[in-house]
Amino acid sequence: MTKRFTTLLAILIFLAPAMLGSSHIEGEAYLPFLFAVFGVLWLSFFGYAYFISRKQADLKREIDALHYSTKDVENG
Amino acid sequence: MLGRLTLLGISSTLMMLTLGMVFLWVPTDEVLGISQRIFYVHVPVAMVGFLAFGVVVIGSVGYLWKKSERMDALAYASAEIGVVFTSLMLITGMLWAKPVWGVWWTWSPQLTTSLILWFIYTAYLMLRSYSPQGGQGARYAAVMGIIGFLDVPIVYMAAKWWRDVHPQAVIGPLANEGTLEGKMIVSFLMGLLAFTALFTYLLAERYSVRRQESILERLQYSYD
Repeated sequence: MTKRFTTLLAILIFLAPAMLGSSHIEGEAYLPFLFAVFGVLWLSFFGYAYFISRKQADLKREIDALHYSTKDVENG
Repeated sequence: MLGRLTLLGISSTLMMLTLGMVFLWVPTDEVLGISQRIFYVHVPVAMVGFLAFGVVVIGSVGYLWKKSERMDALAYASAEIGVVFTSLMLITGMLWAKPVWGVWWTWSPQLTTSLILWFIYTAYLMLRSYSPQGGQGARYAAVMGIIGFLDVPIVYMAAKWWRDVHPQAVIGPLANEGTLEGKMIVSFLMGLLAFTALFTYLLAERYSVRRQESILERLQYSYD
């Protein structure tokens, strides 16, 4: 649920500047810089959120491994 | 207490509103033109980075005072997010400098002190990653986190204290009145609110992971 929501949000956020900006803004020479700012910003935030979710998955794996090894010891 | 999914929803909604305001609603600056729209993300990102380092100080003082692992986890999580925000402040600043000043980087006081701030908290994270959780490493890092924060007011004051190509503060106690007109202030505050909400969400997630890491490390230690 959270993953789907995040993906949808990522698509919307990446498309929004292009959709909103194309018809409205003057001074197009600076547009690549403006889009680069938003691109870098969002790629970084999604990249960081992905890094946190990977860490969480690794932790879960380690906890499971520890759980099974303690069970093995208990069962002799 | 707000759930993390609620926080994500709030920050996403505020981000979409900020995007709409920056691209559709706010007027184009007469002097800087369209490139001035970078201001609505560059300055809030910088301010939230400072806020993150403020939280590092709170967590570090809490850890040194009460020896609370929760406070240590809060300081670590906030430092990591602060470095992400400060990196983005430097990158978005460079992307703004190129069209306006004609160069990607200049060693002006405000830029240099900002880079020093980034180095301080990157060193903080390196210190943490090379030392085991808790104990001496955490104590040294807490002291470093507190002393490192002294650079934040220097960054803010740099443009006033020294001659600087970087614009003076447009918000806060040093700002001149009437620097920003109504719609610009509203868009700026919306951006600030959106990035603060995003910071809160990321902090909640990272803090929770850091706490789990500490607990797991302790369990592994006692199991061995």
